[in-house]
Formats: sequence, structure tokens, C-alpha cells
Amino acid sequence: MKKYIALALGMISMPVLASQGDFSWHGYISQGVTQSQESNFITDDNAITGELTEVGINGYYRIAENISVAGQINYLDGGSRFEQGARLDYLFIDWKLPDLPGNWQGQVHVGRFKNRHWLYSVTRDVPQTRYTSVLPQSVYFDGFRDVALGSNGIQTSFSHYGSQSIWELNWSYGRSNINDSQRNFLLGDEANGDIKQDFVHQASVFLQPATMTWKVGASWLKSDFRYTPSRDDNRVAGGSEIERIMLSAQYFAENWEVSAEVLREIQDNKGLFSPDFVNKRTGEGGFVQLRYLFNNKVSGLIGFDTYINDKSDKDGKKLEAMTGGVIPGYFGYQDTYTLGLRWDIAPKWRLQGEYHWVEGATRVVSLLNLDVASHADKRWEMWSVQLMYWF
Amino acid sequence: MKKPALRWLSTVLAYTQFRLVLALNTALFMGMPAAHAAELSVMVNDSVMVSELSRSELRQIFTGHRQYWSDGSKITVFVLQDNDELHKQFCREVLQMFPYQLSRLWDQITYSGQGVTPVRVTSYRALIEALETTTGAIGYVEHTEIVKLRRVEVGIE
Repeated sequence: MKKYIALALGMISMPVLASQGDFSWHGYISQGVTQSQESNFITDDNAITGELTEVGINGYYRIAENISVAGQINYLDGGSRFEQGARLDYLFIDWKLPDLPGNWQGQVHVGRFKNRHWLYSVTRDVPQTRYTSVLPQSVYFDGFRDVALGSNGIQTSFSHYGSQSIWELNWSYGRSNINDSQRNFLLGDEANGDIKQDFVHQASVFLQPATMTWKVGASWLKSDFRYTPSRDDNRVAGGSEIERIMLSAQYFAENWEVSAEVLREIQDNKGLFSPDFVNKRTGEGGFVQLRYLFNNKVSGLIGFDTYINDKSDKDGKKLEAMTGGVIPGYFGYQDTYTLGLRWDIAPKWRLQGEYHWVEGATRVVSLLNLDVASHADKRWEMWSVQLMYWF
Repeated sequence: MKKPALRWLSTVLAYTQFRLVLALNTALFMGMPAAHAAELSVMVNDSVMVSELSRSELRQIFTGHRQYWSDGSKITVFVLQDNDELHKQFCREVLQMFPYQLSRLWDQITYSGQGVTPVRVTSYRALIEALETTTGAIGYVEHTEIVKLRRVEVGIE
């Protein structure tokens, strides 16, 4: 990771000397206070913490009319939600294709690129672009955020601007490195071997009217993981296949906006716990969020998010019975109600607060841990207040 | 040459899409506020040999999806702050969008490496000066303003 960040810094700083006109750079910094109550999702033991920090800096350098290089590094601390530390967010060559027949435009990204297939995935780590600091966990699951954020590989995007409509088609193929916390979420804390993502293959299509007042889209993801156990491991070799289908929609009015996404994901595990272990589950969920703009500076948000770990076990009773009561049924689902408030204090300064009431805990911890039940009560809450500045 | 059946299918699909988008647009824009009383003009720097742009082309330029003029020179977009009345009027009347939509698109472009976003100036005087002195610049001014700029007609689609 360090070498990637050094490379990104080098690429970002080099063009400043070369040309001011073709280089631009931006950044953001935010600090918050947060807490999860009766759940270890953000903090343990109901502690209030300042572990809500997001800092990033990016650069964009136009090498030629149709070729550019772009990179962003960031530092994230989200409590227990994901691994704390610096990351290379993206670093890619952007090649804008010559104009295509039928008024289509195309571009190709090669390198580490951002996931453009979901509504908020492309700027998920940029605080001022999000409705809430904790995004709806059905779709934007923090336990797996680094894999979902982007990939190392190739991404293409084609768009068509008509007088009535705009079409956007995206396709990407690549892979991501998986850190220990993501491995633990897939296989439990006891796994200490090596997990690799073989590939992630994604495609999406979006339609908007020319005025961009609304947007509808569909996306598809397929990914494959392989696990190689360590010598003193109680897991065995195996793999996991994940397929996700999602529908997205957004609508913008002058004083309010609404966004929603629904997903179905199929996870197929083989091996991992014993050589002949086979398990397949279909999870379903989605969210809807409504933001109302009271005036130019203040807006409020209400939201609902739901996820079921296995659609054949909506209340988790089968999960509880299957584990002899070790895993309570409420770890089979998670429903979240959210209220949020945003205040634009001054240009490029924002204060944002949110409160979440949650029932269920399927997105709190890996269900493969030994002590799942100790991680959350059936009903729990979380909140945060975040101050952010960008430039 | 497409087979007749395919030609027929593509025509039906294109017509269905057109009707769908038109119907939704009409329905969704019922709530748009009436046009502002003062008039504004889209202007480009004297170096830009363009006299007319369609609304679609203007949207591509102001949303950062088109960054070069047809002669290959670079486009530099200048706008006022989000809460400026002239900027709001430009968004509503010319682009038929809301200022916060544009801001969001610019943030997405800026923080995901998609390209260069418009330059936001802090005053009307600064906007005119930037348009007059920057090669390839495009922006907007009040209709009555006397400036050394080229006026661009917004084409009807």
C-alpha cells in the first residue's frame, strides 16, 4: 500500500512543476464524534469516540487532449466499521475515446478505478457528497467497503446525450486486495489464512432525461474469492462466489430529492469450514432516503434501510434453530430508520448530524464468529455529528 | 442493412423511449418555477468561434462532460456561487436543472477523477473579467451588460 501511495503522491506533485494550466487538485477534511449504543458496530461498550475522520487529497493532470491521469489518497477512521488507515482511493489513466457514431462518447480507465455502478459508490469516502456518514448498510455494507469501492483493472463508460434523454453504460473488470478485517467478515475472526479476490466483473446502465431530473438504473456484479489456509488454521481451503443485482432510482425537485436502491445478492460458499461444506444464501434488501431543503443552507433527511441475510429466513428463526440458539434470530436481518440534519455553515464548510434506530444486526459482525451474540442487542442505536471542509 | 423486422423493432423501441422520456419530463417539470423576469445571455470569450449551442450541448459543457471546443481548444467554464440569483436563473432557464444538482455532479467529477469542473467566481465583476480574459471561456451575463464577449444563441431542439 505504501508504494502505491508514494506513487500517487509523485504523480500528483510532478505535474505541478510541469504545467499549472492542465493540473488541478482538490481535497477534503472532516472530523466527527460518533457512538453506537448496545452494539459494537462503531464503538465497544457504548463509548463515545472521535473515530470519525476522513481526509483526502486528489490531483488531475491532463497529459493530452484525450489522456489524463487522476489519483486520490485518503485516510479513514470509522471506528469498528472498517480498517483504519491510509488508502490509495484511485489512480488511473483516463482515455477519452474519439466521438463515436450516433452521438455516443466513451472513456476508458486503466489502473485503480472507482466503482461507478451504484448511486453513491463513486464518492463513498467523500463526506460532503454523502447524505449521511453511515450509508445504508444493505447496499453500502461497511464490512466490505474496500472491495466495493473500486478495483485494479479496466473500466469503460459510454454515454449518449440526446435532446430528450441521456444514456450511460458502464462495464468494469478487475480485482481488489482484501485486508484482514474484510477476511474476518467473510470467514470469522478465527480465520488467519490468505484470501484473494480472483475478479470482480460489473456492468450497469442508467437512463436520465436531458434535464437530469430523475435517474433510473440497473447494475450487476459477479465476484469470486479463494481462501488458502495458514498452517495453524481451523479453516480449510475453499472459495466463495457472490452475484449481486441492483436497481437504482433518484428524483430531484427544487426543494426535495429522493433516492432508492434495491438489491438481491447470492453468495455460494464451498469448502472453508470442511472440505465438503456447501452453503448458498440469497440476501435481499434496499433503502429509500428523502432529503428536504428547508433553504439554501439547511436540509433534513429521513431514511429507511432493510436487509435480510437469507430470503428464506426473513426473521432469522431458522438461523437461530440451526445454531442451537448460539446466534439469535435477529442476526438474520437489519432494519434501520434514520433522521439527519445538514447545515452549510459557509461556502465549503458543513456540519452534518444523524441518528439511526436499528432493529436486527446482520450487518454488524460476521455470523461465522464464535461470539456473535455479544456484538449487538436486538435493538440498538447509533449517531454522529461531523464537521467537514473541502477545497 | 438491418432486416425489416429489426428495423421495425428498433423504430418501436426508439419511439417508446422518446414517449416515455417526454411524458415523464412533462409530468416532473410541472413543479418548475416560472422564469425569472431579468434576461441573461450565454457568452463565450472572443476566441471561441461559436454562435449557437443546443441546450443538450450546454448541459454537456456545464456538467463537465464536454471539455473541448470543436476546434480542439480547451473549454473553461466560469459560474457564480450556488446561492447567486443569476446562477440560479441560468440553471433553471438555460440548463433546466437545479443548482444543487450541478454542485453534486461537479463534486462527483472532482472527487472521482472524472475531469475538470467549472471555476466558481465570487462576484459578477470577476465573472465578466474571467470571461473576457480567458481563452476558450464560457459563462453567462445579464442581457443588458455591455461586454467584449461573443453571445451564444441557445438552440431550439
